[in-house]
Amino acid sequence: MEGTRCVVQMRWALCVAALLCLALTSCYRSGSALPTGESLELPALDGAMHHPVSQEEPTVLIFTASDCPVANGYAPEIAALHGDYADRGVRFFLVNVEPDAAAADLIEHADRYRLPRPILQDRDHGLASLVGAEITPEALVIAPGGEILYRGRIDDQFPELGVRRSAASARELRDALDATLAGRPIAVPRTKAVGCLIRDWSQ
Amino acid sequence: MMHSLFQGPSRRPSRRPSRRPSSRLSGRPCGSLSTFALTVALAACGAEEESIPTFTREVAPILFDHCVVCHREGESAPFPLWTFEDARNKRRQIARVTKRGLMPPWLPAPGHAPLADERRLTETQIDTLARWADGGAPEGDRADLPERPTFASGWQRGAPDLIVKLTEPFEVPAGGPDLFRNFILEVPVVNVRFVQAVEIRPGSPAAHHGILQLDLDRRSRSLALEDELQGFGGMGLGYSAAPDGHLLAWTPGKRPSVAPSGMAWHLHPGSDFILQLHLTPTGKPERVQPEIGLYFTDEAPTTSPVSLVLYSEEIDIAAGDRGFALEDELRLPVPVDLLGLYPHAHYLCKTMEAFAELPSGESRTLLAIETWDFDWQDDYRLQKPMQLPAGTRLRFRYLYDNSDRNSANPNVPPRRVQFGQTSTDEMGTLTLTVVPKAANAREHDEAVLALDEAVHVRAIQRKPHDWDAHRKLGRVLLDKGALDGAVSALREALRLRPEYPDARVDLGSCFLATGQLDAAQGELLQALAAEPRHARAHLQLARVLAARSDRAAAEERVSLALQHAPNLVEARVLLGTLLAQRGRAEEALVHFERALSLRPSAPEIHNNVATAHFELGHLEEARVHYTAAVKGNPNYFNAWFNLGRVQGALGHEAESESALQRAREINPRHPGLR
Repeated sequence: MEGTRCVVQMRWALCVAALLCLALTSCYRSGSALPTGESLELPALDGAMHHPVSQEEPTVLIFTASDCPVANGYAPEIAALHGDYADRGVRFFLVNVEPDAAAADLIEHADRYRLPRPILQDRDHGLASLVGAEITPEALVIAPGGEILYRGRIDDQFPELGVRRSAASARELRDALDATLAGRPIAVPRTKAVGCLIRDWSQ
Repeated sequence: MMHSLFQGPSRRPSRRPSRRPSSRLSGRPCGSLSTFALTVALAACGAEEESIPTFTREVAPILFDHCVVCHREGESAPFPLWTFEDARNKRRQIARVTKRGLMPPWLPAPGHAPLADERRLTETQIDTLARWADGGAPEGDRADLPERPTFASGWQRGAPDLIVKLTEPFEVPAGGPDLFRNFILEVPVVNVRFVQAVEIRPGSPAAHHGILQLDLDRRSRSLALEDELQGFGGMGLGYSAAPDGHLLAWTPGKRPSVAPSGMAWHLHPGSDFILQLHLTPTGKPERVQPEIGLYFTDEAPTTSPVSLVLYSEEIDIAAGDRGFALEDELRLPVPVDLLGLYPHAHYLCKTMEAFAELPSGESRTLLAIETWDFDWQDDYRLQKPMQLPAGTRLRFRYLYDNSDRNSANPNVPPRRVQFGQTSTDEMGTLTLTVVPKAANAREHDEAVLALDEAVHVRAIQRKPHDWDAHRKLGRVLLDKGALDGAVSALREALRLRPEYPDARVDLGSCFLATGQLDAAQGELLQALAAEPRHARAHLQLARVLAARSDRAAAEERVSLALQHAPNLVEARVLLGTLLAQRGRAEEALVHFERALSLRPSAPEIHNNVATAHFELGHLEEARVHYTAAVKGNPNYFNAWFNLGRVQGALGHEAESESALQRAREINPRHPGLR
C-alpha cells in the first residue's frame, strides 16, 4: 500500500463506510431485532459459549476493555448492577473488545476489579459492530427475542471525557432495566456513551 | 534528523512514506469532481502535501518527550504509551484528547509569562498525532525509532539523600467520591538539614495532586487522633505551613521542586511532614503509600520566599448563573521577584486570569487559563523570576459557571453554591511566591513584615470583622515596634472574639514592651486560663518574670514553654540568656546553638552564640559568629562592639580597631567606647 494518499479518496471511502454503517445499524436500532442464530455466539473467558440474545429473558451487554480508565472506573457500579439485577431475571454479560488480550490476563484483571462473570471476548468486534457499540463502557439492554431497547452510557458519573463526578445523578441503564422488568416503555432509550473508542483496537 | 548526502543505495528510504511534491497531487482524481467537491478536495489535497506520519519517526518522539513520564509501567497513568502497539491501540483516543487539550494536562494558555516545564503540545504536534491516527497508524521503519528516555531508579534526580515513606499504606476505595487526605510523616532528622530539592512520589494511579508542608510542632497529630482513617481529611493542611515559604506541590509528571541557589529550606528535627493528596477512585481498591525523596545541601540559605495569598470569600453563586466573577487584589509595599503562581478554585470555575499592574501603568498578564479543570490543578513556576517594583497591583479575576452546561458541576440540578473548603463549595485563591529585594537578613525581615502588614490590612478591608486578620496585623505591628497600632488591632480582635488566647498573648506582649508588667501579666494569665498549654503565653510570662528579676521563676516558665513547643526559637534564646546570666555559659550555648539551627541566619542568635563562646574562651568560634551577626545586620552595634573586643583578644589589632570604629559610627555616645 502506498503511504501517500489524497485525503479526498479517504474521505469518500469514509463516507461510503459511514453510509454502510448507517444502513447496517439502522437495521438494529431500537425497535428492531438482532438475529438469534448460532453465528452470534461468543466465548467467555472460561471457554464456555454464550449467545447475547435469549428468547426468554432480557440481556445487558456492557462493552469493556481492561486498559480503558473509564471502563475500569465503572467496575464498582457494574458489580452493583450485577448484584441488583442478575437474580431478577436479567442476563448480564461484559464484552471485552481487545483483540490480542490473553484470557488469563483478562481473568486476572477481572479479579482485581471484582468484575462479574461471564465476560465474553469479541476479538473481531463482530458483536460490537452488529449492535453499533463504539465506546467502552457502552451498555445495551436487549429484549427477549433480540430487540435493542437501550443503548448508551451506564449513568452520568462521567458526563464527558476528562470529567468524573463524585456520584451519578442520572442512572439511565438502571432506569431502562427497571422499565423493562416492569413492562413499561423506556423513557430515554438512547444516550451518548463516554470513554474509549472501540475502533482503536481494530487494525 | 541528519542524513549523509553520500549514503549508498539502501532499502530503507524506499519503505518510508515519501514526501511527494505537491505538483504530483494535481493529477489525482480530485480534478474529476464537481466544483464544490473540487474546492474541498483541493483544500484537502493542499493540506495533504505531507505524507502520513509514522510511529517511529514522528509520533514516538512526541510520546517520549511529553507522555511516557506518566504513561509507563509503574507510574500514575492508567496505561503505557511505550511501544508501537501501546500507541496504536489508543491512536484515535490520543488524537482526540490532545486535540481537546485534555492531554498532556497543562492548563495555562500560551503567550504570557514563560513558565518552566511547560507540557503543552504545539499545534503541529497535535496535527501530527491526528494525521497518524487518520492515516491508519503506520509503524514506519524501526530503525527510525529514537532512543527511549531513561528514568533512573524511579527517582527523577537519582537516589535521594533521605527517603521518608508513609509507614502504613492507605486504601482508596474502588468507587465513590474523590478524597482529600492529609498524611502525617515523621521527619527523622537529628539536626537541621538544608533541603535543596524534594520529589514526591505518591506511587498510585489514584493520586491527582499533592501538597507537602511542614508541621514544626507536630500539632496536627491531634487531628489524626480524631479521624477514623489514617491521617486526617479535608483541604486544610492542619497546623502545617509551607517550609520557609516554599510551595511544594506534586501533579503527575511534574518535575521535582528545586530551590534556587541560596534558597534551600530548613528541615527541622521534631517536625512532621503533612502531605495532602487529592485521590480519585479508579475502579479497584488502590493502596497508596507515598514516598518523599529529599536532596540536601550544605549551603545555608541566605534568603527565603514569601507566599502572598490573594483570595475572596465573597462567593455566592445562584443556581444557573453562568458568569459569576470573583476578583481580588493586593498592592506590593516593597519590590519583589515573582517566582511562581498557584491558582486554586473548585469545579464551577471556568476561566482564570492573573495580572500585575505596574506603577508605570504597564499591565502584564501573569497567567491565563481558558478552561480550568480542578482535577488537574497545578502550581506554575516562572522560567525566570519577574521583577515587580513597589506599588505594583497584583490582581486576579476568575469566572464561574454554575449552570448545567458546566459538565463538571457537581450538583445536578445546579444549586446555590457559596464559599467553603469542601469540593462542592467554591473557592478562589491565587498564591504568589515572591522573594523581597533585600541586601541582608535585616532588610529581608523588614520587607517580610511590610508584606505581612499589607496582606493583613487587605484581609481586614475584605472582611472588617475578620478577628484573625486583626490579630495577625497586631502581631506584625508588635514585631515592627509600632505598639500603638498593635494594641488597637489586638483590642479589636478581642472585641470581636473575647475568648482568643493568641490575641491576649500578643496584647500582653505589647504591655511588656512598654513596661506595663502588671497589665502584661494579667493578659497572659487570662490566656493561659483558656489554653494552659499555650507555649508563647508561657514564654511571655517568663519574660515578665525576668523583667521583675525573678530569674528562677522565669527559668521555670520558659522551660514549660519549651516542653510544649521544643522548636520555639525565642524560648530557646531566653533560656540560654537566663542560664548565661547566672554563669552557666556551657548550658546556655546548647540552647543558643539549638536556636541557631532553627533559624541559621538570625543575627541576634549569632550574637548570643558568639557571646557564650567568648565567655567560654572559644575566641575563634566567637569571632566567626560575631562576623555572621554583622553580616546579617550591618547596623548591629552590640555585635560590632563585641567583634572588636574578640579581635583584640585574638591580637588582631587592625581588625579590632575597624570593628570598633564601625560600632562608634552606629552609636558614638556608647559608654563602652570611651
